[in-house]
Amino acid sequence: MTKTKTFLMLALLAVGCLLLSGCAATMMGAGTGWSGPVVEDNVLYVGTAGGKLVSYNLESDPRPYAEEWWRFPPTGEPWPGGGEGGGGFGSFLACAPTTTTAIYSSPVVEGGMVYIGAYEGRVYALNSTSRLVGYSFPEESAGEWVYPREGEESIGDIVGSPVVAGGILYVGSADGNLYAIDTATGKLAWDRPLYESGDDIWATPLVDDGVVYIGSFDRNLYALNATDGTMLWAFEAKGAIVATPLIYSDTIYIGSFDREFYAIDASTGKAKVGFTPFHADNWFWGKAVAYDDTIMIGSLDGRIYALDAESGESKWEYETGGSVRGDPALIGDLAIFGSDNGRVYAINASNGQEAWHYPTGEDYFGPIRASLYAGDDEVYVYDTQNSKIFALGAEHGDLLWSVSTLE
Amino acid sequence: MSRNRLILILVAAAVIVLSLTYGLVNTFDLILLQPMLNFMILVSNALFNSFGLAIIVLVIVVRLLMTPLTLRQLHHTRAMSLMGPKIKELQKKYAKDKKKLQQEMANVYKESGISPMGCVGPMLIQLPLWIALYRSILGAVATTPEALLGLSHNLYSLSAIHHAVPLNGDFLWLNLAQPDVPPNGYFILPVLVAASMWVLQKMSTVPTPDQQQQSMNKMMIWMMPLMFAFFTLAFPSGLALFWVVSNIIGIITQYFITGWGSLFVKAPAAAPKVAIEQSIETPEAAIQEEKLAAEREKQQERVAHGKSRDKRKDRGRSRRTGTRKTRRKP
Repeated sequence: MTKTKTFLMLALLAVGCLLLSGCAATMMGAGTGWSGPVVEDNVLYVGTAGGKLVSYNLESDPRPYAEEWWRFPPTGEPWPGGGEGGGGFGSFLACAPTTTTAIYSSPVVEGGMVYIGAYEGRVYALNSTSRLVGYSFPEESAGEWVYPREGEESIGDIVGSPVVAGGILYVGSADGNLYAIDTATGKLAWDRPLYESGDDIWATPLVDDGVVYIGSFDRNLYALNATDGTMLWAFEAKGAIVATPLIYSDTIYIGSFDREFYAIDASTGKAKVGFTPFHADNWFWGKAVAYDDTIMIGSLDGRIYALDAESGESKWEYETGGSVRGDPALIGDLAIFGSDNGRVYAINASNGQEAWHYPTGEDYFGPIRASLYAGDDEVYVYDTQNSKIFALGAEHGDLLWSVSTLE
Repeated sequence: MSRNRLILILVAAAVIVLSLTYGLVNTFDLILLQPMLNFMILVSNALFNSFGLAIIVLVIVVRLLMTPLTLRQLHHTRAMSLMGPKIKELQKKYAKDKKKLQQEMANVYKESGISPMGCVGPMLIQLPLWIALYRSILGAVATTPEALLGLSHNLYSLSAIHHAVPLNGDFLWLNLAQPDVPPNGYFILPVLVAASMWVLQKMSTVPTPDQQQQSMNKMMIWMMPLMFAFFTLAFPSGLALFWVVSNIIGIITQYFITGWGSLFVKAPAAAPKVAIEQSIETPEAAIQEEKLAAEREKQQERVAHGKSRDKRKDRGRSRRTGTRKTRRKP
């Protein structure tokens, strides 16, 4: 073989490897996200598996249905300031289109504005009306912004949902920081992150009475002053904490990757006296719900546990057959959980009896990892694998409507 | 039936039964992936929470376990390369008589005691181990939330393991979950992967006067390192670290078998056609040819030595006393 042929073969091989490595990384590294639906003023918002924020107008005449209202970013456009598709070497190497980013956080709606964190490390504030009209983003006069701004380096991956309280948006990031962003300006409220933990923050914060509670991979649950980030206390578990805390009767209830479920005195940060941490067979990832002194929590071991709020003693447990990751919905005395086995289960909080499950028969959704949302009499479920939103009647689990989130 | 064959059959039967019961992928995860993954996490926990050190230790352990197979494969590969000219001669001689060619080739293999498929067995055994190691590194690194969720289903029910996860991905200048490219890295690992692989390829290549074979060898020596270097641009650097360590161990193993091999031997330049036809040699070409011939002889001796040692090991009994305990010194 001549030198020229050898050189050409090597050059072709190099180009092939470049493309293949980009494709492989895209296939290997890309997550689909698990944003949960949120409803405000008869409008449903959700981050889709295709990496968009979509809103649906919920109508009920002549029968309940959902009609797509607007979609952001528009088809074919990337998220402003980000949206790299994959590969370690710039978006031109990835074989998937580079206009999407995964969305794990659920949107937050406040005062006509929709806030969402994108996995690639930016927080977006969108004005619903501006998006409907189709103005270019950000429409600053309408209060829209992106943090960090376009051209600035993004913060770490955002997995938890943001929370808005008192005009400040709180969001954790994989760079270990808890950020507090002024919702009016889109800038850091105090020119610095609110708090720097020792490791990634994937959890959603809880803000209650001027205190921000946030878990971290460094195994601590922090209680911080919401205005200046001063640490009030830190509770150390034996494993990473990614769940959202539940506050009930001045007690914080939260599970951890050490497979333990804890009760913590909200004012002191010490373990609640008389409460024995509950041990499951796998991690706790979702948020708990409380009903009549019963705390209900799902675990990745596939079970839903009901614990006495005072002692931690098990009242009942229910086997779903698949990991329970997302936050449940509580409607009346029904605790509704989504499972990785593709079903939604409504359990009576008092006795642990199943009220209904959906789908029925031999049908299953894809794994339900997104958090559920409780309406007045219905629960909203997002099947990310099949890109479909379902609205189920809370009492009987009957299907009210479903809509595809695909473009 | 030999003991080894019996063990192999029993293991194969167990794998088939498990596969039929749980599915092939679940069986693979149960037998190989989960033990490796959990062992890696435990080692990481013991080694100052360093996942990088755990990868190095695990590669060394797996390589040590596979040393007998690797040595056998190396011997076989070298012997096959050295038989190349002889095979080529036969192919020329019996180009028109395929049956006779097959027969003669079979005789050559029989005389030399090498089976052309001899390296398939060791490869088949090693391949699942390497796949398991590769998957366990990717699984432990858990680059996305879905991957971390998946990791939770492969962990043993030991507190030490659950407390250690998610693993700390920092090692030296690296983030083991990210490729070693800007802005997170400095291209150091891709260069190390390419360089170590090149050295290994060069050491293990048997020099040959055959021009076509030379070209193929040259392409292989450059192709594999380039290919893996490009992969490291996109894959997590934990995997690249695994490749570098594996290559270094391969170099050390190769050194003990063949020394530096062809690493410092330059392949002869293609002689002009006229010069070859008229059998005119340039002085430089003659010196290179001598060096190559000496190298080939050395390789043949080492292979023969290795083969005769193998034969002595396989022989259960001493000729002299007929007992198992007698061993001749090499």
